[in-house]
Amino acid sequence: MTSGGYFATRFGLDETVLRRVIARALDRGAEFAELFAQHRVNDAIGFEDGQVNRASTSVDLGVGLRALVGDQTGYAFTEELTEEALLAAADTAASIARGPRAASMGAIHGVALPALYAPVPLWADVPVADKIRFVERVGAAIAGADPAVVRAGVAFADEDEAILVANSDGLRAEDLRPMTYLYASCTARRGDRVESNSHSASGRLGAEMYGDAFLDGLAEETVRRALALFDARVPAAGEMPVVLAPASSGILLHEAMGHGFEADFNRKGTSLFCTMLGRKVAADFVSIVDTALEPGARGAIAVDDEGTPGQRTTLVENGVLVSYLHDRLSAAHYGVPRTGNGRREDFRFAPLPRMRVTTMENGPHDPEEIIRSVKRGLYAVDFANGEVDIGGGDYSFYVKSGFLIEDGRLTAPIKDVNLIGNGPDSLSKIEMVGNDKAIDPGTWTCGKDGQSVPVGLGLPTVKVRAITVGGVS
Amino acid sequence: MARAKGRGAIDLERTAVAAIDGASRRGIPDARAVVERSRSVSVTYRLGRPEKVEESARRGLTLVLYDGGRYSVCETNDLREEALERFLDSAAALVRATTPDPFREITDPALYAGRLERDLGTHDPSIAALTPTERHDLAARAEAAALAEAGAEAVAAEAGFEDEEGELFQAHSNGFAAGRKGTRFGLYADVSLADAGDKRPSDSEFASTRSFAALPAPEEIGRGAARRARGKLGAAPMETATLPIIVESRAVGRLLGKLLAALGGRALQQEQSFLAGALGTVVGSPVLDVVDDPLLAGGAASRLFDAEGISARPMPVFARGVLEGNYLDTYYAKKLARRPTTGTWSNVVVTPGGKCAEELMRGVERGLLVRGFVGGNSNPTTGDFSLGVFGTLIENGAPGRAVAEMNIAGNHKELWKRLIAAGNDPWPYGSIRSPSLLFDAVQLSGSGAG
Repeated sequence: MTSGGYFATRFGLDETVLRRVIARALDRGAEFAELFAQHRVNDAIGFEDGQVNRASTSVDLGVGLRALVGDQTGYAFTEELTEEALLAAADTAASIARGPRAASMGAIHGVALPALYAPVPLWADVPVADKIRFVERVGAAIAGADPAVVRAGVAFADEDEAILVANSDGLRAEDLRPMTYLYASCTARRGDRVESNSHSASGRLGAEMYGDAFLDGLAEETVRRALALFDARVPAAGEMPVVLAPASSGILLHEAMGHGFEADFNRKGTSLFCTMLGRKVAADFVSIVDTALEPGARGAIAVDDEGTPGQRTTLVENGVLVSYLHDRLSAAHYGVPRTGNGRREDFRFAPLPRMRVTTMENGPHDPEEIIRSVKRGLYAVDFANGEVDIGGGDYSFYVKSGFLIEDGRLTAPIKDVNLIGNGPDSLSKIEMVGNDKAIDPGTWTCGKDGQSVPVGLGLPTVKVRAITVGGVS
Repeated sequence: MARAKGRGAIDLERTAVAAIDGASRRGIPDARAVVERSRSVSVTYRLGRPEKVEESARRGLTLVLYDGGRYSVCETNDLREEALERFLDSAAALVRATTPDPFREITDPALYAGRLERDLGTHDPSIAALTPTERHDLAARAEAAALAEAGAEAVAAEAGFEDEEGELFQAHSNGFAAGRKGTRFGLYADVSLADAGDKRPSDSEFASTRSFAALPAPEEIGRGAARRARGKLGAAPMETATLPIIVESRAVGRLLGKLLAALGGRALQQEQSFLAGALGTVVGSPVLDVVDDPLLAGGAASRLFDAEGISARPMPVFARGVLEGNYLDTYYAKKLARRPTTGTWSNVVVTPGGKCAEELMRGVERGLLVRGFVGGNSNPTTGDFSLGVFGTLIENGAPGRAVAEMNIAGNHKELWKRLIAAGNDPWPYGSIRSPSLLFDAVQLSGSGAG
């Protein structure tokens, strides 16, 4: 598909229309105007009690118009793609400004984008019967895996998404993004105890993701996670060293640091990291990056939702905070290049600085040595949700399963415990970083200001000297 | 600012009925259709001027198809007639591709009976008269009051006003047809203050109401945000201990919501609920008295019928600690061989007690006033929970210093039995309407080993 082709061909958003609509948004004195068009077709299949029990599909189409004057934003959208409706939305967005026309529309030009995934329509051509087969295979494998299993649940979804960004600088970029995930859950009973757990995988991939071996492996891991909980206990409460296992422990970065690095919070002075740029915030061997360039990853984007090409951004380099995550507004405020983090849930929202795939780079330590260094602490393996208070820095994330560390060895399995700490404090207490970085393939979705976006995260094995473990006595 | 005019305005009822007819013409015997439309405007102020002005006009059709146990849910926001025909074709093809499930049936029409014709106070026609100037003024006043109250320690403030009007029409192939409309007005303010080190504690005050007149003055919202932020200055963990806690009314929803999650039909039937089979048994202390009241005047979630067309009626959920109600939609009720109630909460009303929050505090020698939650989780299968919290230390019956970076943990099966008093201060702005709650002996973790 050539640049500019998808929306011009299907919805008539050709150069002439784009020019007219964007020019209208500049009419009242805005310095910058932007059109964001989006078309998504999402399908989902559910499995429960031995059979497929629901199928759903959703079609979403619309265009958002944004006008900027300094750091002031006017925003409107339309779900009708007639030129009349687009011009009306442009008028509404334009009214943030109150003056004569000050800027003009630049010559339309494309932009080179990295190839990170196969372009859509990708899932539109996959028969429903194939998707049903993925779900049934996983469901049957879970149900038949162990006599203790009483329920198996599977949810599958796929999406073909196309976006178009065109702005008053003349930039025009299209991105055709596939997405899929498969989520499996297992409930098991032993005596009068019932435990359930889940596992999932996601990526900007097509049906090739779901080979038989992959599906069987996902089912097996789901069952293993559920059954492991029977032997696990909620650990004792209190402050202790925590060793984070590779991959999904990246939630620590996402919550404890990543959100605080989002430049809108810093521009407005609400993040406690807003005075820390250039400062040493962690040990020399700690480097943190946020990247769009992870092929096929859930958080990968060839271009952000305001037209900045996908790129890799170093946030912490050898322990020093070197950059925030920028969108257009914050980059202009700080006078720095955009980092490609301007993302939005859909055309109904103005973009905000958001994470993509956030990871810590490998460090100098051997993972075994890291565990051996802990006399008494926690080894955290699987995670669920997390949250952060941007200004105070307190974050928490939930450990679904892990192990106690006693005298340098993993001992009793643990479950269901929340870890709570303070971002800069925990960053400064990272004592060891392993050389086994992995990106978690799970279905991570980040929420901010009422907008959800798909993200990725990863980490090597990391030791934090002390985190509060919300256990029981 | 002029509102975008209703170009190509759709007739909700006509579109819903056309969708049902279209499904029927394609040989799908049973269908439910909901067509919705809403408009909203939001104005955000920062540094004394507009930060963001957003207008939105949404619409959409949700079509649920039942074909001999086959089931599908299809949604679109492209409501042009020719697009709808294509949508119906693919919806019919999708439902035919699935396998029959004997428990999937459209709502029993007997459950449509008895629908009240009552004004629930959910729509305020005065919304049509709101002007852009008034909207800006409300946001600006809230921000100005926040800054004034925060004083020299303020490092940032933001405030906003939002109003929304929505309507829907719902039609089912077996005789249900009804519509409703509603309005919502919201005001909020956020304040960040300078604190020791690099910390900039922030908090917000907000209100959301169905009628414009019920909204508090913007100055009250702004000052409230500043006072709440001030209450977080100098926050630090307290000791790891088992102590009484008071959960402030506004924060109760996050905790009570975790308990309600175990009462949904899916959780119960899929054995992912620690309350499976607990109907009629004691789950909490006699203070735990909760009614699901869809008919509450002006309630955030008030309704005369639910998503399945079931006529709304109040449902006791807990009566003096005894579990009395489950949330069962048609599908899971059938799987459980029970009668459907409703699949979704409406207004969850916790019966207040006689004391104000200060009086509740007076009886606590040492404990924690929980003012909010930070992350954490609750496992509906086992009832285990572990939640990050912040708030205010309670010492000798009075509020002390700010507390943060703490966690509470336990199991819902024990927690609600330790509920010893409810305050008289229900928070009126959400679908969970609860007063402050005092619990005895809750495990807190903070600094130091346990």
